[in-house]
Amino acid sequence: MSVSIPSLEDAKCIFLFGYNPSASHPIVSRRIVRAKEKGAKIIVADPRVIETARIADIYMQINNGCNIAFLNAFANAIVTENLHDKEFIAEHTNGFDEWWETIKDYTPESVQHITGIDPETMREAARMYATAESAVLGWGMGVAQQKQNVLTVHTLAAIACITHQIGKPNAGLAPVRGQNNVQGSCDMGMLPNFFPGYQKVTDPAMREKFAKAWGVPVEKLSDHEGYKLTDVGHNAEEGKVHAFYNFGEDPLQTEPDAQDLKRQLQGLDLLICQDIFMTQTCMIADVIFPGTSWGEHDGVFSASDRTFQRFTAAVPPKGECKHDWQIFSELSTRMGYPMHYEDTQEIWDEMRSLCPTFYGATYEKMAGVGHAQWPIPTIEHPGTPIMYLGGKFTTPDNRANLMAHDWEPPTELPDEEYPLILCTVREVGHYSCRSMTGNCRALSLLAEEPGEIHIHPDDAKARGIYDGELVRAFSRRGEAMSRAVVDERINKGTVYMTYQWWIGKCNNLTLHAVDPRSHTPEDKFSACQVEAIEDQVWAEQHMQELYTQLKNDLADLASAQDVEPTSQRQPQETRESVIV
Amino acid sequence: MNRFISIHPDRCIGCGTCRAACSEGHIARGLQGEPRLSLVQTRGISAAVTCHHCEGAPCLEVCPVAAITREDGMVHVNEQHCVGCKLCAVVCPFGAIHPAGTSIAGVAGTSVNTPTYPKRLDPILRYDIGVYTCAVKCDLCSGDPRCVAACPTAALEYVKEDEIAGSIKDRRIEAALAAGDVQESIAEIRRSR
Repeated sequence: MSVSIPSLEDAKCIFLFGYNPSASHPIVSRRIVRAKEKGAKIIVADPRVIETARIADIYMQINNGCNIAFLNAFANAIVTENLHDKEFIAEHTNGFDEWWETIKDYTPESVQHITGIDPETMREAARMYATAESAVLGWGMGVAQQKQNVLTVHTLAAIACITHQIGKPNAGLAPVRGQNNVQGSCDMGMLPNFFPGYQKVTDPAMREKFAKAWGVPVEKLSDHEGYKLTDVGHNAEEGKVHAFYNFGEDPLQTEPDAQDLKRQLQGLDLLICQDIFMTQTCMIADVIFPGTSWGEHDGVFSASDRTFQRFTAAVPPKGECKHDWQIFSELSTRMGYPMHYEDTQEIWDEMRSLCPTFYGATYEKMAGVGHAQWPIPTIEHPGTPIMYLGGKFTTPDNRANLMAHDWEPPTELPDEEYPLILCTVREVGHYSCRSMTGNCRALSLLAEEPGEIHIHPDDAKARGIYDGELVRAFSRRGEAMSRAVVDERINKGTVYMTYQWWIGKCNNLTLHAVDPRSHTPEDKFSACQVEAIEDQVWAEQHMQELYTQLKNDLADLASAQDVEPTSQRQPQETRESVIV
Repeated sequence: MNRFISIHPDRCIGCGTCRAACSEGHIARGLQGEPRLSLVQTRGISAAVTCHHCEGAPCLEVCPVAAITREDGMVHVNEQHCVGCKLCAVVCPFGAIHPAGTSIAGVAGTSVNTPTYPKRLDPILRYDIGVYTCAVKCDLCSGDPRCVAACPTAALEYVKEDEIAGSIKDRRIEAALAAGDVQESIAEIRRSR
């Protein structure tokens, strides 16, 4: 994000678009509550009455899947009311006239049937945002996990640019990350197109630099962009990918159309999983490397706002478990490239020396509760809480390029057979695939299998579904059992499921459709149907049986590790025979 | 005077941290792990709901075995003395007291939880084979409520006698000052005429 998370408290206006901080990032949510108490205006546009919507000055309950139509109309309202900053546009942006060619057709009235928003309310929101002394525009997975995700980001950025709500203190863009340290993974080059520090693999100078530092011939480093996670399944099926090294991830829980993905991954020649707990993906792996958990290793996390924070181990690893970096080093050594590091600082310092943007983020600066916020190019640099100050952007000509796009409907629209829109979301009490938080007693007490499916009172009534009952949800891809929560906060015709439940696995239902640029799945929109289950006692028992069976299967496979590391391991059954 | 937890719905973000802290706090003291706060979310409101420690507590009046007592401005349930008759749950106007028990699932021979009723059944009507229930409700964690300390947005407040006195006095002063402002504006309107 271009702003820093603490600065949210000092913004005069916060506009949240497709982001529910109370469920995804309660700590960010707390800052928004404080901002409100300090007098900030809050605007929320979301298809659900999220917690922040309750304290918003203007709340707009948009229709699911309308993002670009809404934002184009919002931008249109700003310009027609003459609220755009002409001076800033002239000095710091490119392409306004071309941008307006697309935006001019999107009046709030013309898209009301798509957005569901009263034009006057939208105009009032546009005035509140554009005229605020400082405004932060925040978005989350409600933008990212949609068909037109990257295009929506272009539109959001353009809105901040034309109103000069970027490039000044307490104002800017606040896209949040879907997971802890996703920012760190990207910063460190866990992307198919970048070396660490966002240095392109297609740039010969970069390849030269990294090849020299790592002591390998330059032709050993790939000169083209690799595959993205969502491509692994079908590439495996087409024979383009033969091996998949998966660490700290449970794709069979978190990726769309999970059953199809399982079939595809089972066709790989080699699947390696590196994790701290047995997961459903580990269950089908050929090799499992036991890693260490957050309390057992040292490292650096990057927050969504580009802040590096160092953390240290509290306890040593148990049993056969090794730190991720040790596993990588040993594997690399055995594959013919000797790799050795004494500790994480040695790795970090090597990384800093190769990434100019991160160079000043030393371990010393991050000691104790210290932190470093990139860009931080020198040791003396204080870090950069707010980016693009003075309207100086990171493009070659330092000017922002305004981009506008036409709205397109989502990929799979509801129909007679599958009349409900399924949107998958986060749940505050459980993290990601639940492999970690599922082991916590207090958290399981608050939310347990099979999770919940939120359904509008009218849709529940039409199907004879009562609050708290187990129901069957199904789509063209598959089905899951879930517990109905009759929810008056959501749009009629939509249902919401959270994605960490094993029995109530919403990703059995979701559609594998990805956007062409980022290859992010369209998790926020697919068609499904829900039906009541007559015999509730049977359903409760059946759900428990399925859950117990899965837990036992996971525990049986994990028990292979229940040996003292020093003792001689007994020959055991092969993995295949255990699964069968 | 009674002590209780007061709630500021505008600060509540519906995270349920209060419930997790409540559960862990009671387990640590050898009591039922059932959270004593419930989280209510309607279209307009999100708030934790818990015991008001009423001065005329109906639960205390109806308890046939004197398992519910008043201790220093707080209504307390002795979980060991409770016979699980559920009368208190029936009379509580806030739904702040309900029966709970420890499941026998996991005990030798009964490792699988086997539900015998639909989960949407009211807690008062639930019955698990072999589970002895007792009434659970907020006990203010012996004067140090875990939920209040755990709430990330300070949406919960522990209200005691001295604080109430102060806040009432402050509110009266505020009221008087506000009245002064009203007088001022009335005077202004008169002048402008």
